[in-house]
Amino acid sequence: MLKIQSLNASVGDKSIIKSLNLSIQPGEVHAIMGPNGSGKSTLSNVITGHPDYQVTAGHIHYQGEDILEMTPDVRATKGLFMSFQYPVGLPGVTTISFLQAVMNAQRKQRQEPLVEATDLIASARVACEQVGLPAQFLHRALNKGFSGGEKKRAELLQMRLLEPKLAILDETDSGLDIDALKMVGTVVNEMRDNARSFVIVTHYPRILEYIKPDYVHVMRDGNIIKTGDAALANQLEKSGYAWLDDTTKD
Amino acid sequence: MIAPNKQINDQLSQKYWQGFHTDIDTDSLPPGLNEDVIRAISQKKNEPKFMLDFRLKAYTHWLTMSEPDWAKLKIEPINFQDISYYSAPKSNKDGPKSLDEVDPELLRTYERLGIPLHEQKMLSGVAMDAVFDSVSVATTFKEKLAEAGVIFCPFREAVEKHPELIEQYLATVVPYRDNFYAALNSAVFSDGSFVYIPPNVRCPMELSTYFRINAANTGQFERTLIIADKGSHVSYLEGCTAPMRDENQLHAAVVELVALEGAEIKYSTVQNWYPGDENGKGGIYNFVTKRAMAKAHATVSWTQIETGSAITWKYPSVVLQGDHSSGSFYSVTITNNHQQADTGTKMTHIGKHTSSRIIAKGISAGQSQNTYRGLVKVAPTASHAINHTQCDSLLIGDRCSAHTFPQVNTQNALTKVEHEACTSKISADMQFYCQSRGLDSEAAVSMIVNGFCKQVLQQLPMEFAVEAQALLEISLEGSVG
Amino acid sequence: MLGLMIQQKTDPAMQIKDLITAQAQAHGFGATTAPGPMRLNAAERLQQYNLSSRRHFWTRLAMRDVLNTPVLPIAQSANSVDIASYQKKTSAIPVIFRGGCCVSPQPKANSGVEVDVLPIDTSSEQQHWSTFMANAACEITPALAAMCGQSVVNIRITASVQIELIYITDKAPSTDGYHINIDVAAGVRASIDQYIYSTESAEGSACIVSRTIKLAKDADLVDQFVGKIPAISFMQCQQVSGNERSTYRAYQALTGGKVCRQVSELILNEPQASAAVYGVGLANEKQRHDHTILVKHQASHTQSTQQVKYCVDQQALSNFTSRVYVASGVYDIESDQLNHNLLLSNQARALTAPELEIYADDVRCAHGATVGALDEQAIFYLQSRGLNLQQARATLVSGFMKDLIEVFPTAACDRAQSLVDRMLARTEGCQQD
Repeated sequence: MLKIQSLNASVGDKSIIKSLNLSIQPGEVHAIMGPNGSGKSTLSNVITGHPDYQVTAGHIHYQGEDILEMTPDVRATKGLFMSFQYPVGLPGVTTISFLQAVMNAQRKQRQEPLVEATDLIASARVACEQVGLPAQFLHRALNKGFSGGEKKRAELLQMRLLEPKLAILDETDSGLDIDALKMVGTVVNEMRDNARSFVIVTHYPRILEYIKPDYVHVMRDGNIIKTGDAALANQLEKSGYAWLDDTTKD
Repeated sequence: MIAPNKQINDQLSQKYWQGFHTDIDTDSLPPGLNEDVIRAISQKKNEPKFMLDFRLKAYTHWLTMSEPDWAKLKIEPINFQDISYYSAPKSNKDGPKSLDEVDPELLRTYERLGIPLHEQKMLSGVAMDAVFDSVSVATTFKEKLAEAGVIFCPFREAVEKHPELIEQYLATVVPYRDNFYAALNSAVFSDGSFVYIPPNVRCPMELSTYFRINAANTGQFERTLIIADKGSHVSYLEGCTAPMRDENQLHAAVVELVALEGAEIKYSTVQNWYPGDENGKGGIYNFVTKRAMAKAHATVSWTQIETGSAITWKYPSVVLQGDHSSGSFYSVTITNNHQQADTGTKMTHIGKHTSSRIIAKGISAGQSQNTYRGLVKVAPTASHAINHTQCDSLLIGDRCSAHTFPQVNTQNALTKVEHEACTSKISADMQFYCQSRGLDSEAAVSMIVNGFCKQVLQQLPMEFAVEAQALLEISLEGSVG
Repeated sequence: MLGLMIQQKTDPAMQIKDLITAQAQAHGFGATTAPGPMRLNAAERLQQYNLSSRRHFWTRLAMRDVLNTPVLPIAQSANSVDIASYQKKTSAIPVIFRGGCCVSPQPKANSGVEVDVLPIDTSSEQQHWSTFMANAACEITPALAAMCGQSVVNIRITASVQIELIYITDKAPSTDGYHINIDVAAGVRASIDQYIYSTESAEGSACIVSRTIKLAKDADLVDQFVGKIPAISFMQCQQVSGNERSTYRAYQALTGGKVCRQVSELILNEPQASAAVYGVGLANEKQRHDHTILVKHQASHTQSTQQVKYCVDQQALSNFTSRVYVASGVYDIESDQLNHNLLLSNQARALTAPELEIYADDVRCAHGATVGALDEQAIFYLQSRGLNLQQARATLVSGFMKDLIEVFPTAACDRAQSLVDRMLARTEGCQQD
């Protein structure tokens, strides 16, 4: 599904990701952990195609295609989705009209039938309930005046409706209370199937109590320094990232 | 100052005495302007004496004026003697016979705007069948309006049939001395619309609906006068989302609104005149004077979507004369390529408890220049006046410019005037966010721009709001690289 | 114009009429009728203030006049006059100006400050200076400038010091004018304090100061002016040019003066330069307080802030005209422009025009302006807690000014606060309807 080979990426003059490799198969859930500044968010943004990040070397193949030359919208149409760490507000653009615009933009590109406004409202209401967002948020400007938690819920709402093939949750858990974390877990677990993959980017192992990852990667200084299964996350919780210093020295 | 004016006057008329001959039987007058031309215009229209006197006074005053130069505009000098000041309305005889003969580019635009087929024909000047549907529609409208006592007719017809109303209200809001172009318009105005709503009548329809299917060639010096009598209500929309092409480069219109006690006037404009090509060649000069007078408890609202014209110079204003009157100005101005716009409003608070609200959104792209210029004036008499102004500019690309020149002049302590504004570019984060959800860069910009303008677009009559959105998109085409 | 002014002594009324007619014609207005009583009054009042009667004076300063200001080399001298008796209170280095001349001695060597009083030059140079003053300090006619005593002084600041600029106007009626060039060397952090003194006998005089301030790389200048302007007309124009990473901050708290006018042109020529103006003004009686600011962002990564608050009482007038200009081709510009006005009397007036002129797209410019009265609910609330009307009003006015004054450096903040308090103690509660 996703294959990253010796990826180097930088912002401005600053090199952040250094010869990183990662391979994700359909249906897998990968957790990427690491302390602040380890390059986790950079990785998410590079996969999604943020123009501020330059790939200086390496490849990213998604479903067998090199996506580095693709604009973010083309990647999205192919089923890539990122839940933003800091979603931006769109003044004057209501959530429902945004949903309609993006869903139809994607469907049009994929030559699928467009979604009708009435069908969309019905399914959006259901999805709202799932992510715990009151339905009147559909008629407010997207992310405008939303609280931190509401923004994250709105991101999941979009994920629910866009049904991506590969979803990256960039620190979706940060700033969420325990009920909201459970909700994230429920939504992801419901959407999990043999074809859809997830990347959970997080500081804290707590979210992994609700979403069982197949793999856990630990990032440090722009590279993955350790890969393991769910047990690795537990170990991290007990010992902190400092523990890695000892285990990776040799 | 009298002496030099007289000299100018003498000189001008001398020159044209030699080269000018008036033949009042033809359908159009040769280029040039002098007293005879004005008399000829008035005579062709069978105007009463007071109209001729008005035109002549305006003309005499115009001679003493010079073109305003305070706006932030680069205007090629206009030779006012090169303009023909009268031509009879063109007939459709020479127009295309069917839509097949119309420029397909134009038709595509109509389609994108969602303009109905019969209106497409009208707009592109296709000769229309006498029994064409819209005519009967128009007749129905006419009957309905007559039933309510609403007068809605060409200005020329109003001068003939309702001279008392014209004499009472003409130039009471925009005096002929007001400015250079208003004076010129007062002297030579060709035609326009006249609306009168009797007391306590709610105009049974959006006058836009009627207007759209009846839009006539009103010429380049258009004059509109709308009188809403006590307690009445009217909504009027001029212009069209469809691109309008016109041979005349200079358009100097005057619009006067009179809202008597308790009346409400909602005036919307969608302006999409030819803006010139990508290199700034050609295009309309749109120099308009629009002002409303609001008596006690009256409400006036101006809404404008300005996307066309090479140069736009207009400041729809409200004089809040009566106590508790209120005025608002909602504006979206989009400039692209080499367009220039200098637009805004003047809110003059005179009565007590008057309120005004200004929301202006400017979007500049290409190498265009977009200026908001506003004045909020609170007279010593206007206790408890309230104003809120918000003007925001959005820049697309690094070769365009956006300016904001607001002025607040308060002479009464019991007022609350607030002005806020910001200028920014479309944020890269916003664009990335939209793109990461699957919108291409142009669609992303268009969505952001539509959101940016939402407060204003909401003010438009329903049926135009959708068209206006599409119009924004088309206007910005090619600005995102 | 000089001719007219001299003539005025023989027949003032006639002269004003002629003047207005002449102006009207010069501006292309047909003055077909005699000037009305209001215009005559206005013209007379300006003459009382010893000011030009050009119409710009009682309208507003047109931004284009500032934009068109030619900056010419200046060389002009003062006559050697006796040194004013000046009581030194602080460790700051004083530079004293009196009666149109710089009268202070050269500071000690190695003090980090050099003061040069320029030698007498020819009349053509004088003309340059007059023109500069005329344009920058809002259309002061050459005739008026010629009437000024004139002094041109260069001040070079090479170490981190505190300087006091002291202007004394004590002859009546006179118009004292000074031009001061201030150069701050690279990396130097300096501060300037300005004071203005006058005697009662000088009522009706005018004091005009123009300053050209040049900051070298990494220089940091704090420019403070806190105090009550005496009953004269005070006008000051300054052009500040910022260099790479230089910082200019002006803090002003001014009251009084017949006319108190500031014209500031802040030019950010090099990357990462920043400039800020924080000002509060309290105007009462028939005073007018003006601040005209032009900020030019001509380099990338530059930043500017303007925060000006006016409190206007009785028949006073405040006028804030400001423009932020962002040149084409620069990026990463941040600029704030805020003006708030509080009207305390029904005859008080406030004019405000916060303008933006932007030719680049990577900018974040926000501006805002408000004009309003005291919140009646708040007055009522304070009264219900036992304050009388005047105390309640003073509390609210002080609160209005407070957040801005608190931005000032400590010493200036204290002085500004006590200035505001003193003024408020005297401010009458004006009746409102």
